[in-house]
Amino acid sequence: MKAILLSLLSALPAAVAPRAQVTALRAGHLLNGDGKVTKNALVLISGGKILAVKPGGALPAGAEVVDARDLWVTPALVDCGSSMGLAPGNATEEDREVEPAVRAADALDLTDPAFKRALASGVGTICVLPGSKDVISGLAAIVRFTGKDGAPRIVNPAAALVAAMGRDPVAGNIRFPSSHYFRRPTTRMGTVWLFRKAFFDARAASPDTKDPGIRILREALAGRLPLRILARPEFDIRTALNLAEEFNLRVAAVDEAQEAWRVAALLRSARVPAALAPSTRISRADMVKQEWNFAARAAAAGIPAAIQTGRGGGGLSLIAQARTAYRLGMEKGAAFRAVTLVPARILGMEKRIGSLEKGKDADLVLWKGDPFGPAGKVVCVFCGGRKVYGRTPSSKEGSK
Amino acid sequence: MSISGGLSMGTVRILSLILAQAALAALLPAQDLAVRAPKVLTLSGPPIRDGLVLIQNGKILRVGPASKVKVPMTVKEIVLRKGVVMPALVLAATSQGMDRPNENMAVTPFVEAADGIDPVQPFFEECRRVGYGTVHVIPGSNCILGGVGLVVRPFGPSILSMTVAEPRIQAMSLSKSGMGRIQAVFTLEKALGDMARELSLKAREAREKKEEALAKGEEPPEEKDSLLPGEKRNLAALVKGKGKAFFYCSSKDDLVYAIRLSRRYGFELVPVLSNSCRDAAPLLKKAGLAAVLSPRIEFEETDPDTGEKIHRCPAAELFRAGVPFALTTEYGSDLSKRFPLWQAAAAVRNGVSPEAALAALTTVPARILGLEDRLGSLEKGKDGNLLLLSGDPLDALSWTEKLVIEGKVVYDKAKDPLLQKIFPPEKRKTSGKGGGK
Repeated sequence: MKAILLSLLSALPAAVAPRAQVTALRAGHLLNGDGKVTKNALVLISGGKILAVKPGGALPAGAEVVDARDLWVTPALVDCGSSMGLAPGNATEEDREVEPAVRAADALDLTDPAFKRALASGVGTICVLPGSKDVISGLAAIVRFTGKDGAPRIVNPAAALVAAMGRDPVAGNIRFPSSHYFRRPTTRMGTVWLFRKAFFDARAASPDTKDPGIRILREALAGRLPLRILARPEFDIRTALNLAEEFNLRVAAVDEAQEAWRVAALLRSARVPAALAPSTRISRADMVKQEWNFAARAAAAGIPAAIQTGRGGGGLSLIAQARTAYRLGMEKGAAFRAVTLVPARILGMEKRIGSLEKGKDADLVLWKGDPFGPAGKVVCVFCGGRKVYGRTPSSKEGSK
Repeated sequence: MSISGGLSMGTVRILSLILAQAALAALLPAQDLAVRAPKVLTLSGPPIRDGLVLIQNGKILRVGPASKVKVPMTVKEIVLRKGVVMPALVLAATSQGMDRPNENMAVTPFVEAADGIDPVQPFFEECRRVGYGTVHVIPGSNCILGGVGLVVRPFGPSILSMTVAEPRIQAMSLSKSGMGRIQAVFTLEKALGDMARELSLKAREAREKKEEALAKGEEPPEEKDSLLPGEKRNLAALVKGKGKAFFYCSSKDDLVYAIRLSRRYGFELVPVLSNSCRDAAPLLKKAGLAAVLSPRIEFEETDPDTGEKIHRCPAAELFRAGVPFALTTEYGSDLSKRFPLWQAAAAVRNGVSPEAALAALTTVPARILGLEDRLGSLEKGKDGNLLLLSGDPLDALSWTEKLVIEGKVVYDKAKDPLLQKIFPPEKRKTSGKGGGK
C-alpha cells in the first residue's frame, strides 16, 4: 500500500499535491554529483523527489526538517559494475560463448549481504553484470534500494548487453580437439570473431524470428539496447570501439578499461565512457600495463570516467576506490563524479540519479565528514526520499 | 646490547659488533641537519607552529619554534614550505624484506631474521616511500617457534649497516599449517619444557660442582652463562623470563594461551592479532598488553549462525577499550594496505582518535620494541628520524616529501621514479603543490 501511495505521490507534481509532506534537509556541506561543494545548502524533498536545491535560504513553512548542518550531504553513489548477488562461479553461463538471453536478474540473490554492505557505504544504485567468461554473457540488471524497508529491488532486468574482449572468454577453453572442453575461442582473435558472428547471424536471421537471443541482439543492433564491453588493455578497447562502429552499436561503457587513458582521443570522439576497475588493486592481468594512477590519467585526458567495484570486487567499498583515485592524483571533483554522475549516465539514469537536482530521485547520503577525508563515514542513506540505512540526525532544532 | 647468535651466526655476530660502528660511520656519516616546517608534530607534546628540529650527530639536539632554535652556520637546513614534520614511522612487525618468511620446520627458535634479510628488496624502498624510519623484520606465523627478528633502518647496502637494534624478539604461533591446535600447543610446550629442564639440570650440576669444590676447600669453578650452545640461547632467554615474544594470535584461544604461557615463564608478550582474533580487547586491557594489528584494517566478517556480515575494525575495538595498539602495512598489489598513514586515516574513520592513530605508527611500536628512548617522538636525545610530509598526516593527498634517518635524507619524492610517474613535475607546478624545493 505504502509503495503504491509513494509512487502515486511521486507521480503528482508538487503543485497539484500541496499536502504532500516536504522534507527540508539542511546540509552543512553539499558535495554534489558534479563534484562541486556548497556550504549551508538546503535540499527540499517531497514525494521521493527533489523539489529544489538551494544555497541556503528560509525553511518552507510546515516542512519536516532534517538538520545535517554538521554533516556532509551527497547524492547516493552509483556502482555501475559489480557481481553482487551472483554466487561466485555462478556468474557466467558457460554452455555457449554467446548467450544474449541470459539475464543476471534471473539468478540474482537479493539477500546477498553484499547489497547491505554496499548500502552501508553509501551506494544507492548497483548494476550487476553477468560474468566475463563468455563473449556475450547476457543482460545486466540494475538494483536499487527501493523495496520494502529499503530492501534491494531489481528496477531494470535488461539494462545492457554484456560482452567481453580479451582473455576472459578464452578461460577454460582448450584448443585440443581430443578434449571435452574443446571450443572456440582459444585466442583473442577467436573472441572477436564470435562477437562478429553473433551479430552477422542476428542480421541475417528472419525478421520475425522467435529466438530470444537473436531478438536481443537485434535490439542492440537497432540501438535500443546499449552494450557494456569488457576491454582492459589499449588494444582491446580499440577492438571494442571498432566492433561498435562496424555494427553501429551503442556502447554504454568499456568496462575495467585500465588503459583507457592511452586511447583517450578515440574514446572521446566515440563518446564512450570508461568504467574503470578498482583503484586499490594493482593488476597486471590480461596484458594490462597498469599505472597506479590510471583513473587520474583517464579523467585528465577528458574521458568521462566511472569507477566500479567490478566483477570479483566483493568487499570493496566504492567510496574507498574514489578516495584512492583521489590520492593517486585524480581531481576530487572528477573522483566523485566517477562514482555518481558518470555511472548514472552509463546506466542511462542521469535524469533520475547521480546528483542532487530538481526533479531527480531523492537518493542521498549523509556523512560525518568529507567523504574524502579521514572522518568521512556514512551516517545514513536515503533512497527515493526514504531513509533506508542508518539513523537520521535529530530534527528537533530546526522544526520549531 | 646483548649479542648472541646461532652457531653459524656466531662469527658473523661478533664481526657485526666490531664492524657495525665502523660500517655505520662509513655509510651513514654522522649527520647534522636542521629541518624547518610550518608545523612540527612532536608526538610527545603539542604541535609546534613554524617549528624547527635540529639534529646533531644523528640525534635530535633541539625541537622548538624556529624563532627559538638557533641553527649553527655549518648545519644544512631543509625548509619545508608547506606540510608537516613528524617522527619517522615505526613498523612494529613485518615478515617482508626476507627471502622467505618461515622455515619449513615447526621449531626453529635459533633462526635469525638477520640472516634472511635482503637489503635490495623493493620492500625497503617502499618503506622509505611510505615513511618508515625503522622496521622490525621478524619471521612469520607459520612456525611454532619461528626465530628472532631484527630492527633495521630501511636503508643501506648490507644488514650490518641497516641494523638499529637487536631486541631478539621470538616469533611464536600456533598456526603452523598442517598442524592441529593440540599438536601445536604440545610442540610449543615441549620445546619450552625441554629447555626449562635442561636449564635446571645444568643449574643443579653447577651447584653440585660448586658445593663439591667448596667441600674440598678448592676455588669454586667460574659460573658460565654460555654453557649452552648458541642455537639454544634464544629459547633459554625466553624460559628464563628474560626474552620477549611476538605471539601470532589467530583466535581468542591463542591469546588466552599466550598470556598464560608468558606468565608461566615470565617472558614479555606482544600479541600480534590476526583479524580472526575476536573480543581481544577486554583480555588485553586486563593483562595490560599492547597489540600489533593486521594490515587489513577494516573488513567484513560473517556471523557463523546468521550469515550476517559484520563490519569490524580491530583498531577501533582496542581504542574503545583503551588498549594501545600498533598498526602495520603490507607491501603488495593491494594499495589499501600499503600506506601506513592511510591506514591511520581509515582507523580514524572507524572511530579511533587522530592522536591514537598516529601513536599507533610511532610511539606505540617504539615502546613495543623496547626502543622508546630512541624512536617514536621528537625529543632531545632521540634518533634524528624525521618524516617530512606534504600535508596533514591523515589527509588523502599527503605524501612523503623526504625521509630523514639519523640526520641523513634517505628518500626524496622528487627523485622517486614511481611517484614522479604518478605525479609528473609539470602537473605539480600548475596545481601549486609539491612542498619545498
